[in-house]
Amino acid sequence: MDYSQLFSVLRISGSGLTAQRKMIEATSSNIANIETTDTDTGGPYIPKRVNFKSVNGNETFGSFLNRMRGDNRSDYGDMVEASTVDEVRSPTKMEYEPENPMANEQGYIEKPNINLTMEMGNMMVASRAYEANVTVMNAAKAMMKKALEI
Amino acid sequence: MINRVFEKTTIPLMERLLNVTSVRQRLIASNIANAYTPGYANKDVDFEQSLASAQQKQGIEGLRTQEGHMPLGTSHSGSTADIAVVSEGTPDMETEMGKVAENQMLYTTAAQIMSGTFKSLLTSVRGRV
Repeated sequence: MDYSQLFSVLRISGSGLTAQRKMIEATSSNIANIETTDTDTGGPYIPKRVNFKSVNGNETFGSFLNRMRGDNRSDYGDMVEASTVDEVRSPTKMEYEPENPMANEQGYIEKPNINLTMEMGNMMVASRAYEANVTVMNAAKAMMKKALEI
Repeated sequence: MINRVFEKTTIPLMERLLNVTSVRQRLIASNIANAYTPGYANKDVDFEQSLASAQQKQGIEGLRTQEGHMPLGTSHSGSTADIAVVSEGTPDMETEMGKVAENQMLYTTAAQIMSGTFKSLLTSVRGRV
């Protein structure tokens, strides 16, 4: 029995959990900084976006053993990798606040262009996707337990 | 001889079913993990083809020149290398979650039948109920 197949489900779903957690982190950062006008690098806060990329699973103990047995198949599922990037291309939004000490000569203040509705939507998608990954993980765990009962 | 005892039961088929469903679980996990990855192609196991190849004999079989010779060789290698994978379309979360439940049931059923078969064999070996 090639049990490494089931064990790697945990790794794949685990990568999904990490990716969705990064998505939630980016969203929470964006929502927390929705009004931030000043940062360490100067200028308003730059929103963060998360990119998902599928990666073919790295070498595991199981896949190494399989390769030694002549099983070179590696297309049994890919892990997901999330990278957080600064959305530098999004335009900032200018608001007229002449009383604000951060305002320029014309009385305008530069604020990050963050759409709260979109961020909340992303958050819901990420949390549901997180739950889905947990479900798959639990199913794989139940299957492994069942195999031990044979 | 002992090989033949197991071959006459459903054990080889159930073994194959366990292998196919565990590969399938891995593919579903991959589909769900990559549900929001742009350009990712949905993957699944070609069930019928993968199960059918279990019936075909693989590996080396001993030559029997006399009737009394013990049969040698295995029915199949038990490897997952020949499981057919199809990849098309984009992942659909609802379908994939349905597949998780279905796959888990299949695996549990196969494990249950296998353990039941082993119990029956044990009964006949002991010679009492």
